[in-house]
Amino acid sequence: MLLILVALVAMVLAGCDAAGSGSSSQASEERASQSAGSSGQKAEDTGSSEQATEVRLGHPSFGSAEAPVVLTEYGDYQ
Amino acid sequence: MEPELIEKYVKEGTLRIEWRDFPYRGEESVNAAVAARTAQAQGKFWEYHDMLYYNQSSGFSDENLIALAREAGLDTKRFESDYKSARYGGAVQADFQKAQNLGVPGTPTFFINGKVLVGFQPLEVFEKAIEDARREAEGG
Repeated sequence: MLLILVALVAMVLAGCDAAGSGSSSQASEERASQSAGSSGQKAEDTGSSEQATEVRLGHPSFGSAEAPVVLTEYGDYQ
Repeated sequence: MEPELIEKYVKEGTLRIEWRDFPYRGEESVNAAVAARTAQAQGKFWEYHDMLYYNQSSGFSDENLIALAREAGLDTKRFESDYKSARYGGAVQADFQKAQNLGVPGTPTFFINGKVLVGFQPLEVFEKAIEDARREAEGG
C-alpha cells in the first residue's frame, strides 16, 4: 500500500514538473517574439544549437514595432 | 530595400520592414533561404541576406553558402550543423506556404499595410504607397 502511495506521489510530482517546464518555454517564446520587434533597428530572433531539431524563428525585420506602416517583402535570393 | 526609404521612413518610426521567403526557383533558392534563416539564429540575418544578393552569380551550393557564413563572421561550425540539419527550414516553408495562399506571383512582391505591389518599383511609387498607408492608418 505504501509503495502504491509513493508511486502516486512521484507521478503527480513528475506531472507538475512537465507542466512547469512547458509554460516556461512558452513564456520565453513570447518574450523572444516581443523583443524581436520592440525597438528601433533591425530585429532578429535567435536560437540555440542545443534546442530542438526544428526551431521557430520570427520574421526578420527592422523598424519600430509601433510603426503605422508595415512593408512586407516576399523575396528570393536567386 | 531602397536606402532612401530606410532613411526617410524607418528611422523616424513611420515604417517597419519585414522579410518573408518565397524561394520559388528551385533547390538553390530554398538552400539560400534556409541559410539566411540559419544566419538569423546567430543574429546576422541582414548581413548574410545582403551577401547573398551580392554573390548571386556564384550560385548557392552548400559549399558557397558555408563560405559566405565564414565571411560574414558567423560561428561556422554551428552554422554548418544547423544548415545541414535544415533546423530552420520550417520558417522558410511557412513563409512559402503563406505566399502561395496569398497568391504571390513572383519576387519581389511587396505588401504595404496589405496593399500589393508586384515587381521592382521606382522610389516614388513606394513613397506614395507609404504616405497613403500612413494617412489611412492615422484616420485621414
